[in-house]
This record gives sequence, C-alpha cells and structure tokens, in this order.
Amino acid sequence: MSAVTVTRSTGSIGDAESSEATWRPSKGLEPQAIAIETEHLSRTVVDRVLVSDITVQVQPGEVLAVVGPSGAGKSSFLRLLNRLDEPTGGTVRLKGQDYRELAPRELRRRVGMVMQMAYLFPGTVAANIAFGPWQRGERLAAEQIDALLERVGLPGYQERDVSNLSGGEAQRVSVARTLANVPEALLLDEPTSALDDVSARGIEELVLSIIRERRMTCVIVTHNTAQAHRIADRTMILQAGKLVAIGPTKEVLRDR
Amino acid sequence: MIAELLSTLHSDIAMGMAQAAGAIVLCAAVVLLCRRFAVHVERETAISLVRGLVQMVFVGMVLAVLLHGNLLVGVLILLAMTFAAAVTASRRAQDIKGSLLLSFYAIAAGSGVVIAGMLATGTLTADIAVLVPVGSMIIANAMNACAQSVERFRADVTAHVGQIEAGLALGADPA
Repeated sequence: MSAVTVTRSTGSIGDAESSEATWRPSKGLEPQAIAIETEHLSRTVVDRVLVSDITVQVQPGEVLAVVGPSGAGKSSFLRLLNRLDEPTGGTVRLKGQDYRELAPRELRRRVGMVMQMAYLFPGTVAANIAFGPWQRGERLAAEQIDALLERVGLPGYQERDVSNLSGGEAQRVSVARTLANVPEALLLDEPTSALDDVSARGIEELVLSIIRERRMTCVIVTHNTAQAHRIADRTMILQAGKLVAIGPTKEVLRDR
Repeated sequence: MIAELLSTLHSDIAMGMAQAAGAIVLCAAVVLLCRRFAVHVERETAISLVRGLVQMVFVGMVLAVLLHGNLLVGVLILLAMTFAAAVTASRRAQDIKGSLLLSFYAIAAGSGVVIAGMLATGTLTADIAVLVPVGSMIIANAMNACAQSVERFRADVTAHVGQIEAGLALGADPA
C-alpha cells in the first residue's frame, strides 16, 4: 500500500509518494511534537470547583497519564486543553503560545481528542474519517482513507455503515478520524473504558504504537493504573480538582 | 365612529347584562347546592363573580374600542400579540442565547406570511374586526409551533451531545 499526502495550502489531496505501508501527511505537515503547558488552569461552574490551579508541563513527545478517583476532575482537565470547555482561570500554552490566541477550530485540529465513546456520525466509516479535513474545506482521497483504516487495523471498512460496527471497531474509527486531522498532540479521555478487555487491549496497543511511531505529545485520562504503567512516561494524580502528585509513573503509582 | 360605537354598545350591553345575570343565577344554584352538602363557598364565589365581571367588562370595553379603530391599530395589536407569543415561546429556551428575538422573528415570519397570503387572496378582509381575531389564532398556532420546535431542538441537542462535542473536537464550526 502506498502513503498519501495532504497539501494544506491548496486544500487538495496529493498522490502516493512512496510505497510505505503507513499513512503520513505531506511535507511540511509532519506532526511535530509540541509542548503543552498549563498555567494555574482552573474551572469553576456555579461555585463548584472542577479544576483548581493546575500548573504542569508536558514535554514534546511525552505521554502524561491523568489518574484519580471518579469526580476528581480528570476529564474536566482534559477538556480544558482543547477549549472544549473554557477555563475560568489560567491558560494553556502550546509551544509557548497562549492557546487563546489560536482560533478554537485550529487549536482542535492541532490538539486531537479521542473520547470515551466513539460518537461516530451516522453514515459510512469513510465519511466519518473525512469529517475533520472537510471542516477546513479539504477532501481526503480514497487512498488516504484506506491508509488510515489500514493503520488502525480496519482495512476494507470504508463503506461500512457505522451502525454495524462493534465497540472496538467504532473506537478504532474514532482514532483514525482524529488522526486524519494530523494533530500535533493527542488527548485521550478513557478511550478503552467502555470496551471489553480484548477490544480495550487492542485499542491501547494501537494508540501506544501510534504515539510512539509519531512521537506525539499525549495526555491520557485513565482510571486504570495498570494502563498508566503501560503507556505513560509520567503520571499526575488529581483529587477534587487539585493536582496532588506528579512524576515518573513508576514512582507516583508505586503505592497504588 | 363614536355614534356607531355607542349604538352598538347599547345593544351589546343589554345582551351582556343578560348573559352575566344568567351566569350569576347558575353560580347561585351551585352555591345553594354546596350549602346543602355543608360546603361553604359563598364568599369565594361572590369574590370570583365580581372579579370576573369587572375583568370581562374591562376587557370587553378595551376590545370594543380597539376593534373600532383603524387598520394601523390592528397591526399594532397583532405585533403586540406576536411579542407576547415570543415571550411565552422563549420561556422554553431560557438557556439559549437570544431566544426571545429568535422566537419573535420565527413567529412573526410564520404568521406574517400566512396573514399576508390570506389578505392577498381575499380569504381575509383588511377589516380590524376580522384581522385581529383571525390573526391572533394564526399567531397562537405559530407560537405553539415555535415552542415545539424549541423543545425538539433541545431534545435533539441533549440526545446528541456526544456527537456534537466529537464534531467540535474535530474542528467543526460551532455556528
């Protein structure tokens, strides 16, 4: 199979340029791992503190796990990183730039997100994968969709209706859909928690291989400390919206 | 116009008084029946009767004056009704920004087109005594349609909030 390219300047889709089996974006659009820094990041909703004064740096290419009990603010923290929710205090810097200076749509292209549930749009798998680029007026070529599907282990699924997918398959499509945007960082909100053990392990291995292969900066929310051990370079623990510990995963999770 | 109004009022007042008397007699019968079963509602009934009578006389007087006004008054009445309908419909969407204005535009557009069409085809005459009652019914129906659309929209958003957030996370335009 051949690799395919996206040319953002013209919005067109280029042709294969090599015979590599993996999909990769065109020259100049290669994802460059970016640093994510939060500065006193906070969110309060009607006197309820969801995230409180969190300052943390995620290095380029690093995988940071966010763990903590239910209601600790893990997902709330993650949603602040791509402005799916708006901080009520503090900010986030991408490569040193305040993310409020970026248009939310561009920010969300650069900082991709995979949610707990796949939340696919009604229609075919191919239409779902083409959704992100289409929002910017770009059209993904069939070859590019093929390559993405092959990368997530679903070759030949282009014309499948999403209503006929299993939970694991849907989540793989969700990962491919996010990758189609060529993100520089990946936010994962418990991407395996709604799946059975076999599917969960498959998704975990897929995500891990992708972030290692592309050296993506990644923040993953998980309640599964074993998963954090397998995936994360560092781990931070949240309790009641506050950061209570952060460090190398083995050290932070030693007694947990 | 005043002379015409006064002559109309004389006959209407006589009819109205007769109707009010009839209603009072019926209420008195109910009160007597209640007394027989030791249910004492005399005071409440008397207050309600007086209040109802005053309200109806007042509203009737206002309507009588308005319905003998010119067409501009009729248009103003319909506009006021449209605004009142928009206030009612927008109560179902208090958490939607600009819902009052949106409801007003929707109801005004919907009912306005129908009223204009009926006027253009001659189904409705440009007489205030016809325009206001029929127009108010059309506005009321437009208000119901608007309120139900808002409810449906809210239900759809609630049911698909995951997909909406997934779309936003992929760079979809919130607008």
